[in-house]
Amino acid sequence: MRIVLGIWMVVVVILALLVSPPLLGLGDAGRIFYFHVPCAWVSFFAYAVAAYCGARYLLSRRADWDCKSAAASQIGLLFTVLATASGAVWAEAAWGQWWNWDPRETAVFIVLLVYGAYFALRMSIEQPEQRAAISAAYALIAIVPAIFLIYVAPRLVESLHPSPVLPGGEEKGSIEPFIRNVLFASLAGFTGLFVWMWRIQTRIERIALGKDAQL
Amino acid sequence: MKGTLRGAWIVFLKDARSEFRTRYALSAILLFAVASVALAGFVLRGAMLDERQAAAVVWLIVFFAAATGLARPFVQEAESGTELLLRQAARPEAVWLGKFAFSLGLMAAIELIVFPLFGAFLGVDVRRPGWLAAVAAAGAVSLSGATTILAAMVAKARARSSVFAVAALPVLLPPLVLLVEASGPAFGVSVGAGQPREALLAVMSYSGILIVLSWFLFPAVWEE
Amino acid sequence: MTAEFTLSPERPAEFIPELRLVADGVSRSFGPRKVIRSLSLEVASGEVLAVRGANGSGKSTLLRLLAGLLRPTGGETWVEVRGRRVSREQRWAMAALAAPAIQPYLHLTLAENLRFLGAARGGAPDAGSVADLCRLVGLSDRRDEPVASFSSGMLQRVRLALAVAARPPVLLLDEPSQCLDGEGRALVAKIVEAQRSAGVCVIATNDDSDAAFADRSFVLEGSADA
Repeated sequence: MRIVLGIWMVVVVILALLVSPPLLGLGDAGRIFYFHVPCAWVSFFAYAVAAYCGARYLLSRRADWDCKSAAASQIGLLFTVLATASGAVWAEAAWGQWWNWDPRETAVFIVLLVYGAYFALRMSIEQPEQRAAISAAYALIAIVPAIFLIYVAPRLVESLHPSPVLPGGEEKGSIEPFIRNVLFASLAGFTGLFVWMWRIQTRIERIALGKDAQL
Repeated sequence: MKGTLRGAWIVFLKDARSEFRTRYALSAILLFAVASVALAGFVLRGAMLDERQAAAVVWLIVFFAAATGLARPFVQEAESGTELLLRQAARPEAVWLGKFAFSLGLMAAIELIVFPLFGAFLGVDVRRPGWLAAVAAAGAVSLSGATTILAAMVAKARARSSVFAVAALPVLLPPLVLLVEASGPAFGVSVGAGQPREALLAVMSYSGILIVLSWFLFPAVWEE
Repeated sequence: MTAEFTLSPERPAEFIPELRLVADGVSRSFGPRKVIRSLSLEVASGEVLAVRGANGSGKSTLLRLLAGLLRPTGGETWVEVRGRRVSREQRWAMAALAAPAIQPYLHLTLAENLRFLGAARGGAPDAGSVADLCRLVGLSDRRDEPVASFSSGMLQRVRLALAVAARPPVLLLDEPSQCLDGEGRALVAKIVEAQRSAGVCVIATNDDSDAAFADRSFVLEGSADA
């Protein structure tokens, strides 16, 4: 699977950086679109995975679900940071400012805060079963602000963001099929990347849980 | 259900009685609130705040006062070792409801101090007190409803007070933004600016969803 | 006392016939540390069981599992009446635990603590029963003082009062004679004897005289690091 994924991503990068026509009137800087959007997508997707695994933990109380949930959150955090950073680069290129507090930027920032809070909470609880239950509960509770900010806030306020770019990554309005296809390919690639990294991180979590005894 | 309501009432009374005797949470919160408003009043003296700015400052103060004090209902139980007694005394649902009611009381105290003082120190006119009261009530329910379960979570952690503020921030940010939007008309006259009614409704639905979710998740957090 | 009983959580009965407290293959781990390993036991109406073991062998953990205050990570514990398991709600209403880790509310008086527990669990306790309880544990003259001012021996008596206040059919005592003088120990003996006609009693202890109250003993092996 690694090999397929690796080749896929190389193809995507080549298409995005070399083959695709320049985007959005930004020249080559616009190519970040192919990476920013998938990163944002993965950050939300990872969170959904973490919340789902948390719910499964609460229902079954099997520690493995907690390992999966924590792993998904860690990878999700990474992609959120990447999405925020790439978004800032794009904002600078497009509008001259690194940060604008527009609703979508704010939404990703809030997701970053949610992840941060999740880890702060996790790291401060020593007992594994309590930590797992509380992390799962927090992940589920924090869905409410996350959903609110992603779907509701933008509708309440005017936005600078290219409209409307939903976190699902699809763009309404007319875009060239080629660009759309490369974007989808990139989305698929990044999702695959997430799954691959998530599985590795889950294994690390399982080992870490076992190691708690030696402390 | 009746048992739960009665249990919640008993828990609330117990907390209220304890608080009345020690005045620990109330003093911390009120001291913070008064100091913040006074500071804001001093720093902003003479500055003409538009309604948005006034609303933002007042809700910021309310938020930080809440972050200071609303973890207390559960952290207190953990620190004084009474958790197991409470778990034997009342069902989880009753505990949640009783603690929610107590948090609501703390929020009411915060707002009753902050809003009038704010008006006085910053010379802000309150144009529509009825509307402000409605928004303040919605805000109180929202902030206490969301933080009750968070307080229970944080009670099991070390470094409790800082983790509470960190955990509460993402969850409270949306209603705070909405409350600022909703409060605008109370501090100023501009008609047609923003969507205060929609914002208030949004706060209420947000709180409603969070409260229902907390109700279901609380036993998982509270029980061992 | 009435022979008729109901299992409503509002009013736990004073005597429940054919009651059994059962643990079946129950385990409890904290992360990778297994404190209780696949343990089974049974206590029937009128019996008193002592749980003994070295420090760290899991006596307190076992009592919490039996009280339903801790979830097992393996196996189950339950309470049966006439062969039928009671619901979680009912079990919660039927069990009470007195343990060193349980503190009363320091800023409330003894009477207020007792009333709180009674009222919250169901059934407003009348002034008479609160007075009876205070008399039972020998703290009548301190009933209206905040518990914060009590000595450790008095606090232990408060814990015992809180545990028996709900008249639980399942009474669990963790180190009941801790901090108690001779009179205090006599109180424990009295409580344990009275519990025989109310249901079951399990005592976790390293104290020989406490263990002597019991009909039989159960020993927890080793401490957790095995």
